[in-house]
Amino acid sequence: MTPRLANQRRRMVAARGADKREKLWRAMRILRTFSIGELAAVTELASVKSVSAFCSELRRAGYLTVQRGNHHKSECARYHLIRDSGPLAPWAMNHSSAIYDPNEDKEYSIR
Amino acid sequence: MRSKIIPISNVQRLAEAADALLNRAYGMPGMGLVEGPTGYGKTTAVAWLVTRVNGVFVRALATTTPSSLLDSICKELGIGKRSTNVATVEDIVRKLAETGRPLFIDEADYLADKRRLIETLRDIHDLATVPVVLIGMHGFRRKLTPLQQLTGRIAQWVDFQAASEFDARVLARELAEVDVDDALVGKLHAAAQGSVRLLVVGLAQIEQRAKNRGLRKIGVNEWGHGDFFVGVAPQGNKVVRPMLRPVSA
Repeated sequence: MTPRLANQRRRMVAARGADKREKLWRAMRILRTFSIGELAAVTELASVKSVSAFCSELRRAGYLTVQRGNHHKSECARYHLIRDSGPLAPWAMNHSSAIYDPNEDKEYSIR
Repeated sequence: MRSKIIPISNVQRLAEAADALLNRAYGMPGMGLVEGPTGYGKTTAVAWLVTRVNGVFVRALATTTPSSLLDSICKELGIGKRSTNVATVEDIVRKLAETGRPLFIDEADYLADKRRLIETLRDIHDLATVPVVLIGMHGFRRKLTPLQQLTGRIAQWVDFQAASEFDARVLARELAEVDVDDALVGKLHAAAQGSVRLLVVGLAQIEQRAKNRGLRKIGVNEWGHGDFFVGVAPQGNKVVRPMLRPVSA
């Protein structure tokens, strides 16, 4: 693949991810309390895995808290959005070591 | 359990109403009203719709004033607030008209007795000609009846109702990965008292039990006498069992 094509491809991949993130973030801000399954249903994203990955990043950066039911199954876990910073979706940078928040122009480290 | 939005009657009516608002003829009123008690799937369905149509979603509070409402809308649209409310409304109208994004106001009950707020929303609707959808609790529509300039613009009204037994069967068929017998669905439906959320929780429990026992199909006999809603995590500040919640006055 020529470098130009490779760049174009990378941009396309990044854009696709951004669209998903924006959708998930928007749904989280409306629902405020949700399970992974609900979030996947509301955003019509088929991959529960990627929804779960994004939630995990946000949780470890302090955006979400998690509350489990009586039995510790991940599907029963309910998330709460506790840092609703604004309309733009935060995204993971530096190989998922930090979350960049475009609303506040701030970085939060992922623990 | 599968994760998807099932077009049971409430969801279908909401989708149809949104469609009608977005595709209405030029010059026709485009305000919508969504009401219903907690637990009937209103929030989930609205979140699905807003995400789908890329709507602007703001939430009213008991302390909301015209100025704070405009402030929230500005933030969502990513535009700065101007020194006067008049100028801010103009900016909001321009941005909404440009993008064609519908405006959704949740917890609109708080606005019902605030005339200036309602009129501000009406202005935005009239000038930007985008759909404006108010979302409130059960009985919210009645509170708006005295405001005739507003009710004349309401073109669509969706009242979220208790899930029917038919809805419960559709949910069972679409969400559960095992076959759930109609009689057991009926039992679950009676216990859930119309709450979609509880129906989904119950179906997950039923599916789990069937899977634990290696069953492909489960009925009343296999289920026994268990509680359908064991292990339900509390849902934020909302009352989980909806029928216990008094209709707000």
